[in-house]
Amino acid sequence: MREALHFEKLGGGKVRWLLCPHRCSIADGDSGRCWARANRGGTLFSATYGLSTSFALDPVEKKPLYHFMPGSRILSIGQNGCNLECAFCQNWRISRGGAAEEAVNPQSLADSARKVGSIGIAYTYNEPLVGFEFVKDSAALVKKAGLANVLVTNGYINPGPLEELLPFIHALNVDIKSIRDGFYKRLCKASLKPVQETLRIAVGKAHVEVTNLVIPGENDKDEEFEELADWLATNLGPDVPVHLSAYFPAYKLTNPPTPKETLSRARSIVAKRMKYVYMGNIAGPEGRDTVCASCGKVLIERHGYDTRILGLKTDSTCADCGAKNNIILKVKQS
Amino acid sequence: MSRILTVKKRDGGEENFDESRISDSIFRAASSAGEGDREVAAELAGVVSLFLEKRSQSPQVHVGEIEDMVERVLLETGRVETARAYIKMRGEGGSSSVSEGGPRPGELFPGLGISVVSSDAGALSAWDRSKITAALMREARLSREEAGEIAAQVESRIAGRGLTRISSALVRSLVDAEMFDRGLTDEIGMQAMLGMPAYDFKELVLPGSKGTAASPEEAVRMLAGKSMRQFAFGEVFSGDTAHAHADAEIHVESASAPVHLSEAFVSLEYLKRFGAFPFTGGWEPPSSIDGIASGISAFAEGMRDYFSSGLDLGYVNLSMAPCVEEGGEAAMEAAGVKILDAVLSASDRRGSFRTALNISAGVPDLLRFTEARGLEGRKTGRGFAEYWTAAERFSKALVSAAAGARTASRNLAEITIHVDSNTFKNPSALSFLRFACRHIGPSFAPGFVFEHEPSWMNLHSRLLARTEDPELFRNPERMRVPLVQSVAINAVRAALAAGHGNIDRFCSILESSVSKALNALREKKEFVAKLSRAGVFAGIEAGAPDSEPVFRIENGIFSISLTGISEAAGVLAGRGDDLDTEALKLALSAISFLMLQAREQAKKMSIPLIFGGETSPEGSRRFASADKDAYPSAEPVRGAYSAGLTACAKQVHEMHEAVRDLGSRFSLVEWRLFLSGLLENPDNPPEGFFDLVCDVFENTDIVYLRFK
Repeated sequence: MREALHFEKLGGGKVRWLLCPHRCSIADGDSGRCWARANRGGTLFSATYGLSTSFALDPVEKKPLYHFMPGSRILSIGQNGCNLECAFCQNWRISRGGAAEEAVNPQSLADSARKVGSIGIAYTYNEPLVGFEFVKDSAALVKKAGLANVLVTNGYINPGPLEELLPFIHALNVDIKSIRDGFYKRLCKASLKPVQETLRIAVGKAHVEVTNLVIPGENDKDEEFEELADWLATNLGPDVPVHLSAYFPAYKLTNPPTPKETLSRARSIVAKRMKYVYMGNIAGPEGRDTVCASCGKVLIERHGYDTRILGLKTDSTCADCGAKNNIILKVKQS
Repeated sequence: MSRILTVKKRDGGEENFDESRISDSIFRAASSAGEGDREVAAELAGVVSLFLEKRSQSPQVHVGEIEDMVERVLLETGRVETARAYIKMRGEGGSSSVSEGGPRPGELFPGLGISVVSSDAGALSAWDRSKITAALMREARLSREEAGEIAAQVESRIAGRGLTRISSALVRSLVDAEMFDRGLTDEIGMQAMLGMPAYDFKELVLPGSKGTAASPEEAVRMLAGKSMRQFAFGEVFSGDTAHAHADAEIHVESASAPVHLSEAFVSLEYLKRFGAFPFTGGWEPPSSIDGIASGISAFAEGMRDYFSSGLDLGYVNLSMAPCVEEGGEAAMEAAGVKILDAVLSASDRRGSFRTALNISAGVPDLLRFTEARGLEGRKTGRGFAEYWTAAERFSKALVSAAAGARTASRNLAEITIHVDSNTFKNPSALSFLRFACRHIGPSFAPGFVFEHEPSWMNLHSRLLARTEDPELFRNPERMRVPLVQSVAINAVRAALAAGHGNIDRFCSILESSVSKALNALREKKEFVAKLSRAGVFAGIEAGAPDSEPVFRIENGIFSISLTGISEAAGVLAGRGDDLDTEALKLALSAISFLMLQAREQAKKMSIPLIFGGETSPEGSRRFASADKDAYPSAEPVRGAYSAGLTACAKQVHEMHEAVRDLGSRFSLVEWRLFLSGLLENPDNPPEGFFDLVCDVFENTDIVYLRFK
């Protein structure tokens, strides 16, 4: 364990964690709703620091990031804990803090990434921001090693800590689970606004892609897709790639999986405002390739996780028309 | 980590539960079905684990349970091809069926957050895919797997639309479309919805539309009729019958009432003994003429629930004789009016249900010594023969009342007079026949049944059904015979298709039509038997007070009729100066032979068959209209074909010639003749009709003569 950042001491041995919008008041001996904190004697610790539940060398497309170093692989690490309580969580065993852990330290993480030919480290599977201290320490070392840091996050973090972390982060995929606050309250026990704020802040400081998990009967109405597209285009700009992902029953939610038709419909709506809209978690070619928003040429072709870059120059512009398509082929180290 | 820890293998061994193995097997199946995607396979494996955990109480599952769950997840997530491939793979590896204890289709994802609006009751219910599966298994007789696949596909399409409500009619259309894509066209018919398009409905109901019903009641009746007709040709009759009907090769009568029987003959003796039983609480013999009349009304009213076309009351004059014998002329006339009024009021004014009465010109041999009963069902100790005088008086009263019943709102009384050899041996009977013929005119157009042989025993009804059971004549109240179904055959169509002079071809086509008509009767017979077993006719199959069923439906009779024989003969043999006498004779002989052949065929099919006389106006109009469309260059046909063999003449003497001419050409089969064009001609001599009736009886095989 390591002492946490961003907390304040309350009276009676309680502490408040200031990183998370929940602003949990945690009594001595408790862990907080994210299962990743621990109040020990009136001091808040990061309970998961240096502990990992899962490691894998994944295609970067799996995060999903389609415009960030396409075709590359990235060493992905997960930990226990999450500050949302999504009824449909795919990784609830780790997000609820019960999975077995192995020790890992930030330096070894950076070393491992280099050894396995990874472009960097992806902090993913659970909500990485609840392990803020470990992520920040690791990201600093990874960046120093000339590698990339990727956050796959629910975006549920206060602006201050986020600003503190972003200088080490090269790319984020942020889940925007619904454009309706009621959805967040009902199914995630959280609220929408902090997520929107995170996106607004991050989009100018790192490469950002957005994922929306489409759940039948919960967030799949036309008007919701219209509102989502409107918000994204207005606040993040139309160049941010959007991943519309098919839901599968998990954890507490057993609604039937998202039909392909729903995703197609959603894509056609969102694509009216956003340039790059993809379909994920679903078989078939629709919504899979990256196409130049200017001339329509296929820039990146995908079959599952087999990615082929077809029409891009080394400066990531379209080989045909020269348009930029918000694609990053190489990490710039500053 | 999953709560499921171990897997029990088929060989009894154990191994650790490994979700990635499920993912791999799904991916292999998906790949062979062209749907391979590792990410999706992994997600599906997660779903399998999830539901295994939710359903299993134990940390161990059997490998079969996992396979069942994979199948179910694949099917219920609409991955039909992958599911098929998986089932095949599974079959190759050992077990290939969903275990009995496994989840059933629709159990995993019973709700979509969609409400289904029932199109008939307006009720709302939560979406439940398993209802589609169950309905397809029940209605279209699909296997559980196929039904589940279709339901999953439909759900997938619906879920993809973001709907919160959907009508059951739309769901059904989507199911039909999915079945159509799978080539299940016959099965679509099996589970087809009955009803009509909203547009047609509005046309029927709303003012200003074409074909608007005359009243709300008529609209309801027409709507019910249309649905029932769909049911008839979707469920009761086969596709072949439906096609033959649609092509106007045959006409299934009363198709809008497939659950009904057609027509019934009941001796008035029954009503005299048992009143309107079973349509009254108990049974009580009527004690007055008024009681008999009200019994007729009540009985006919009850019969409409089961019979679509009509009720024939037999032996009305003979039955009434013991009850009216004592009265004077005025009482006799009053009784005639009462009975006639009861019969007319018991007829449906819309014309779909007719009550008719039959009277005999004389006393048939088999009834002569049957002991008659009077009011309250009391035996009189005298045979019917002793009541002829009273019967003749009442018959004349009835004919007078009928001929005088000129109110426009009433139907013309349908009276049939039965003639046999005794009529001509009994001066009084002949006197009545003469009396009746004198009254023939626009307001009194009786039919005549000629019972050429005692053995025919036509039951004194228009049904012309035969019986040789002497017991019926000892207890005439037992004469209650249901006609189950009639089918008309379009003779003109056969003639038009064959062409002038081509008798062989005409026979061949007609033979085929007869066969189709008999098949239609068989189908109705089977359906009625099913209804009877289900208790639909319990109300009239119940035991009457004489311990016999009111109607023994299993002994019901069936009828076929040949429509437009005269027109067909015209097509085949020409008319007037172009008449090919030889061709006409050949054609008519061929028809006679075919009808006899039909009777033999019917016997083999255990169908008690009679040759019905009159095709319904709807049938003859439909035939004529269809033939006009099919053969626009053929000689123009009138709006409807003649009911049977029609002779058309203005003068009685011409009719005599026609009758003799036809009589010489027809043999072998008891023909029916309908005479038209005579009634309104004032030039006909007073005795003309009487002479014609006698002529027909004496010189032809015609069994039924009706003036139109």
